[in-house]
Parts: sequence; C-alpha cells; structure tokens
Amino acid sequence: MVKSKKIKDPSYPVAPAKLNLWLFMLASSMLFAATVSAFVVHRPDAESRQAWTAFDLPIFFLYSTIIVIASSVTAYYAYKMAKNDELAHNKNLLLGTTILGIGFCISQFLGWQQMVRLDLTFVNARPEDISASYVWVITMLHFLHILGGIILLIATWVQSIRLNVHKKNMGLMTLTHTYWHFVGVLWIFLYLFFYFAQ
Amino acid sequence: MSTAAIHADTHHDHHEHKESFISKYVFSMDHKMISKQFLITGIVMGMVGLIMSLIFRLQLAWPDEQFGFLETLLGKWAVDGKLDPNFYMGLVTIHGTIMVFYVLTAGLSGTFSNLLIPLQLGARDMASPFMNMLSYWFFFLSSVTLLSSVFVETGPASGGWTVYPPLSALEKAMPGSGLGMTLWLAAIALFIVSSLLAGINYISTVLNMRTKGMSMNRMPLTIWAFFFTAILGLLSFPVLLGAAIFLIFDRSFGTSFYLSDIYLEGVGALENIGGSPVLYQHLFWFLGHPEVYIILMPALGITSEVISTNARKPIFGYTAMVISLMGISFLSFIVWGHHMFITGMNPFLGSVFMILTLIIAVPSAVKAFNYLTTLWKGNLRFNPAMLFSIGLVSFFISGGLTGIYLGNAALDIQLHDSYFVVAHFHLVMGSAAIFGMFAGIYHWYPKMFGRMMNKTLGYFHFWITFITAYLVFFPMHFMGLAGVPRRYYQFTLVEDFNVWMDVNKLITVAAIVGGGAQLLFLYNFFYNIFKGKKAKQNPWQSNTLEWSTPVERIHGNWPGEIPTVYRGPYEYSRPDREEDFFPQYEPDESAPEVLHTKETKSAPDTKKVEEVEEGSVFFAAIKRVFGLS
Ligand code: HEM
Ligand SMILES: [Cu+2]
Repeated sequence: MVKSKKIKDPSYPVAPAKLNLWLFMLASSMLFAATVSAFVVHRPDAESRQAWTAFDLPIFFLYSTIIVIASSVTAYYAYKMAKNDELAHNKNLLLGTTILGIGFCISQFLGWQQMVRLDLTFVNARPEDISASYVWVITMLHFLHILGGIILLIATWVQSIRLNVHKKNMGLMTLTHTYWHFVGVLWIFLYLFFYFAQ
Repeated sequence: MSTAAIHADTHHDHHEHKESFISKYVFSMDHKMISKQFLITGIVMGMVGLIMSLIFRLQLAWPDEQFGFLETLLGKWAVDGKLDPNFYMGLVTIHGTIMVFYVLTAGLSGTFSNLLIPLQLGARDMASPFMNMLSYWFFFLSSVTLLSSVFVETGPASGGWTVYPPLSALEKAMPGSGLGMTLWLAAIALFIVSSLLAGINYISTVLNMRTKGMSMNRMPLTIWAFFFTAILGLLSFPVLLGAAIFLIFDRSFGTSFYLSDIYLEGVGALENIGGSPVLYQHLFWFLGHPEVYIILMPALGITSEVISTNARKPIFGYTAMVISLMGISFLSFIVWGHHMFITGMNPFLGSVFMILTLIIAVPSAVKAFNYLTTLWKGNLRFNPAMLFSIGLVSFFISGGLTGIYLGNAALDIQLHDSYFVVAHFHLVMGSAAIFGMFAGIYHWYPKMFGRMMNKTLGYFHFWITFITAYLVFFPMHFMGLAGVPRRYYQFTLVEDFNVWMDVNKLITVAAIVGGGAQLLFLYNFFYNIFKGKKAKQNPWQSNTLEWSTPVERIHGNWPGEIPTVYRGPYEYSRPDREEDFFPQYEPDESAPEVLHTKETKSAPDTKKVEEVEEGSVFFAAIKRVFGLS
C-alpha cells in the first residue's frame, strides 16, 4: 500500500497485524476443535469401551507442560522488560524463552518415543489403538504451531540484539508474546483433555 | 486529467511510476489488481467447469451415440467417441469441485471482497496487502493442481465433490482414487490456505479500517455480506482441513480414522479396522453447509446493492437484512446433519437438525421479501446488472422452496441422492450465485476497467441464460421425484428410466444453448476491457464510496484525503433533494453537524424512525462486543 507523506490517513483502532494474528488464532483453534471433536465422536460409549485403548500419556508430555508454562512466564517478562525499555533483560529473556521452546520440542520427541515403545504407534494394527493415532495427529499439529512460535521468537530475539525492540517499537514483540501464550495455552488444554478423556 | 495531476502532485514520493510489469500485473499487492486476477482465474475455471458439464450432459442425453470429437478431445477416455464411465464420474466430481470452490467461492468472494471492501469502506488497501497477494497465488497454484489431475493416467478424483471415504480413501476402490485423488487433496489444502489468508484480511479490514464516519451501521450490505462470509470461512475451512488431514493419513500412511472392515472385489477384510466413515461426513458437512452460504451470501449482498441503486429506492429494511445475514450465518453452523439423514443417525437428532434447518427459512424469506418490497414501485432501471439481480431473486425463491422439502427428514429419505437434489442446489446455489456474480461484474466493470460493457449483449446474455437455466434445472425436479438417482452414467441401462430420455435430451440442448450464451459474455467482457466506451466516474449514480475514486484506479485509491462518510448507503430519492441520490461522501449543507451526533432528520414515517432507533441500539451492542466505537 502506498501512502503519500503529505496526506495523513486516520490511524486504525487496532494494529492490523495484531488483529490478523488474533483471527489466525481463531482459525487454528477451529482446527483443534475439529480434531478433538473427532476424537470425542469416535470414542465408543461406555459399554463398548474395551474397543478403545485408554493409556496414560507419556510422562514427557507432563514435562512439556511444565516447560511450556515456564516459557510463558519468561515470555511475559520479556514483554514487560521491552515495555520498560530494559533491553538487555528483554534480549536474555527472549533467548531463555527460545531455549525453553526448543526444550519443549525435545520433550515432545521423547514423549513420542515413549509411545512407540509402548507399541502405541501412529499406524496401528489393532482397532482399539485408534486412540493413539489421534494423540499423534493432534500433538503433531500442535508441534507445527510451536515451530512457528520458535521462528517468531528467534526473529524477535534477532531484532532485540539489533536494539529494535523497545517501548516505541513493540509490534513484533507483542505478536510473539501473544502467539507464544496461545500455543502454550493450547498445549495445556490438549494435555488436560487427553488426561481426562482417556 | 485533473485527477492525474493531483495524483502526481501528492504521490511524488512513491514508486508507482517505477512499477514493473511483474509487480503491477503478476505479483501485485494492489487489491484492485488482485480482485481482477481472482475474477479472470474464476472465469477461466468457470469455463472449464461448464465445458465439463456439457460433455457429461451429452453422454446423458445420447448414451449410444458416438461423438468423434470427444475421442479427439479426450483420447482414451472416449474410445470410439463414447465417454468412459470412470471418466464420467471424474468429470462430475471435478465439475462440482470447480464450480463450488473455484468459481463461486474464490472467484466470487475473492473478486468482490477484494475490490469492494477497501473501496466501499474508504481504506487505501487491505490490512495486509502481502497476505492478499499470497492468497491469490495459493489459489492459482491450487487451480493448476486441480486441473492437472485431469491429465493423470488414472484420471481425476471421481468419488463426487464430497469425496466420501472409503471410496476416496482406497486406491483400489476406483481408478480416480489414485493419483487423481491425491492431487485433489493437495489442491484443496492449497485452497484452504488461500481462503484463510483472504478471510483474515477481509475481516480485519472491515473491523479496523473504515474511514471516518463509516460506522458499522452505515456499511453497504455488500460489505456486511462479505464480512459474514469471511467469518464463516474462517471458522469452517479449518474443519475441512482437519477432515482432509485425516483422509491423507488414511490414504498414504495406513491409519484407519475413516476405514473399517472393508471388502474390496470380494477380498477382505482389509487391514484397516476401527475407523468411522460417518466421522468424515460430520467433519465434511460442518464445512459443507456453511460453504453453501459462503457461496450465496456475497451474491445476496451484491444483489442488495444493485437492486437498491437501480430501483432508486432505499433498500427495504436495512437492519432486517443485516440481522438475517447474521441469523443465516449462525444457523448455518448447526444444520449440517441435514445432509446425513440417511447415515443411520438417531431419529431424535434428525428431528433436531430438521427443525434447525427449517428455521433458516425465516431469515431467507425476510431477505426475499425485502428484495421484492425494494423493487415495489421503484423507478426501476433495467440494466443488465439489475436483470441479473432480479434473476437471482427468482432462483433464490424457486430453489429455496425445495429446500423446505429436502430439510424434512421423512421426505429426504426418499429424495436423497436423486435428481431432485441436483435441481435444488443448482437453482438456489448454482444459478443464484452465478447470477449474483454476473450482476456484480456488470455493475462494477466500470470500476474495475474504467470502461463500460455493451448493454445489448448483456440483455441477450441475461435472457438466454435465465431461460435455459430454468429449462435445464427445473425438469430435474420431476426426475428426482420419480426416483432417478444422481451420479449415474447411463440411464438407458435401467428400463424404468427410459421414459426420461426425452427430458434428458431437452436438458442437454438447453445446456448447450445456455453454454453458448456465455460466449456472448466472454466477448463482451474481454473485448470491452480494451475497446469499451470510457466510463463516467459514477455511471449508475450510486451512493457508495467506490464511485468517488477516480476512473483511473490509482494506487491508494483516492488521490487526496480519504472521503468522510456522512450517512447510510441507500439514501435514494430523498424527498428533500433535487437529485434522486445522495452519496455517502457528500456533506449535507442544510445540516452541518451530522457527524458523530444522532441524526435528527425530518421524520415522514414514524415506523421508519422506530426501526432506525432499534437498529442503532443493536449496532451499539455489537460494537461494544467488538470493542469498536
Ligand atoms: C453450466 C451449467 C451446469 C450444468 C448443465 C450442470 C449440470 C450438472 C449435472 C447434470 C450434474 C449431475 C451429474 C450426475 O449426477 O451424474 C451436476 C453436478 C453438480 N454440479 Fe452442475 N451444472 C451446471 C452448473 C453448475 C454450477 C454453477 C454449480 C455451482 C454450484 C454446479 C455444481 C454442481 C455440483 C456441486 C454437482 C455435484 C457433483 C457431485 O455429484 O459430486 N453446477 N451438474
Ligand atoms: Cu446444508
């Protein structure tokens, strides 16, 4: 879009990128709503429950949950520091959040390995193990969202090193902060859902 | 040109004059150019879909005839000029997919949302022009992928546009479920990405980037329709993505989300067990039903605008129109079960879906009556856009009425998958939405290309298309009532259906004539881009903001400041005005203090005032919900 300098256009109530991000999060919530509902619809009723493998989630998924909560805390402080113009803290906290994010990915990998060891593979030979396939699909879709978040975190961190993240330039920081909380909350929801739905 | 002069003056710091061919016409980020890209791609896809329908209509009318040219055209799919049954199914499937998604979703919303949202709201462009460009290119890739599937050796996807598993999930089930189906899924995945990118932009622009004075209750009904359409897409396309992901895993990785206990060619059971094919139908129709409104609502919005302009009357019941759109949008998410009455669903659940479905008749009827009352005693100007809009109203009513039959679970058990359904959806969704699209093209062509289309050709185009559309689709009701099923390759193979052969011939002849009429349109469209009469700035004497932009269609839309909006979009034939229209952007000298204060107009009609009052409270509430003021 081209605007000339002389003409002052009215400013918008909300930053367009921020609104777009919220709409994206709405759409992606619908993807998870759909896949989670598929799980619920597919699950047989109480009488024929033996046709459905109920299993305890890998312990690493619990670790992932703890890591993601911790990373939300660091992301929050990174945001706050940027708002207070404490650039060094902001930079370090962003790096910390990124590392926690990578830690989350590793923990997910270990969790998936644990599932494989329990013979709860993605493609399964017994019909009742279809529950495991759902856990695979849904955790992998979430994993893709986390990857997006990590890319955002790294981008923000690079900007922070270049001293481009501060009180007057919160755009990218706000997006990253919001999105990271979103993927975190999404994971906590998914974890609790599988924990209680099995 | 004076506007050009102003333009050069105020924009000397930007790079428009340096624009290369690539950045202007190919990877353009200007919403007006993207809109044209969507339109032309949509028209090309529409022609492909139309030609496909003519080919399979030939087969239905003259199953024993040999058409030599078919062999020339299709090669091994029409040996000796007789269409191959598998390819018949492929044509029907790709025809449906193209018409539903590529022409009437992307071609219609993509064109007019892109063109009109910034222009009618007073924004310089979309919220994110870059995402907008991506959206088009994903759509383009998706179109190419889908079309390429027609050329693979095993043929295109052939399980119907709904691609139900297990047919679509098992390569061995039919030839089309091989590579063709894989390409279909890839195309749809790209399409979903495209429509999400577009939808996010539309919603964000509508909520956030309206010019001064353009409160939500002053938005043209086109914008309301695009807005709700985009919301429907944003909420339902991710669900289709979920359905497609499960299907891809079942097809290519060996999971069993949708598959269980299947015997193929007498061999079995296959290894896949534990899956549920009905699950796919739930996921698919959770998108599928909103999708038909994604198709229809933009056409309804365009019609509101065109009818009001050309009847020189305010649209009847603006608020009622908006509430109906909102009601339809909301209800469309909770009626998907009416496509699944015969899947063995609990009859109680069936009744719930049935009642919810029949409730949609209420907002739909409100809209139909409001169109009719707007036309009533108007100073009608029958230009082609107006005729196509009236045509839409006709199809909306005649096709909508049969929806009441189909929504009834007891009747649908008989009518399901018969030609009655084909008749119903081609009238209410196919023809109505196509007519809305034509209305939009004839109406906004001057805005898109700065030139006028030929009126006479437009009249011929309208009348031939209108008559043949009824001739094609109306007789199908009777075939359906008599039990003729859809997606059948040759009816002469079933003794009882032989009585319908005359009707089948009539339909096909009408379809060919109707298809031929589209050549008039194509000529009119493409020839006049270059040779048409130069358009005036406001050729239809319309009220909305887009007509305040210069005919030259510049970057940033307005050379100077963005105009301010002083009133609603439909103030035609106001008794206190000399002219019979009163543009939104013209200040009212007699009442200088209108902006941001409650309008205290002279009230000729108390009922009208009440309606306005009610409306403003209602909109105030919505604004609070959206956090906007
Ligand atoms: C050019 C005029 C058209 C003609 C002559 C035509 C004809 C047909 C016929 C005869 C069928 C049923 C074939 C069968 O069941 O064996 C069909 C299917 C279909 N048509 Fe059209 N059609 C036209 C335009 C449209 C339009 C504008 C739409 C847009 C909504 C559309 C959407 C569909 C869909 C969704 C199907 C179902 C495909 C399936 O069964 O999977 N058609 N068409
Ligand atoms: Cu429906």
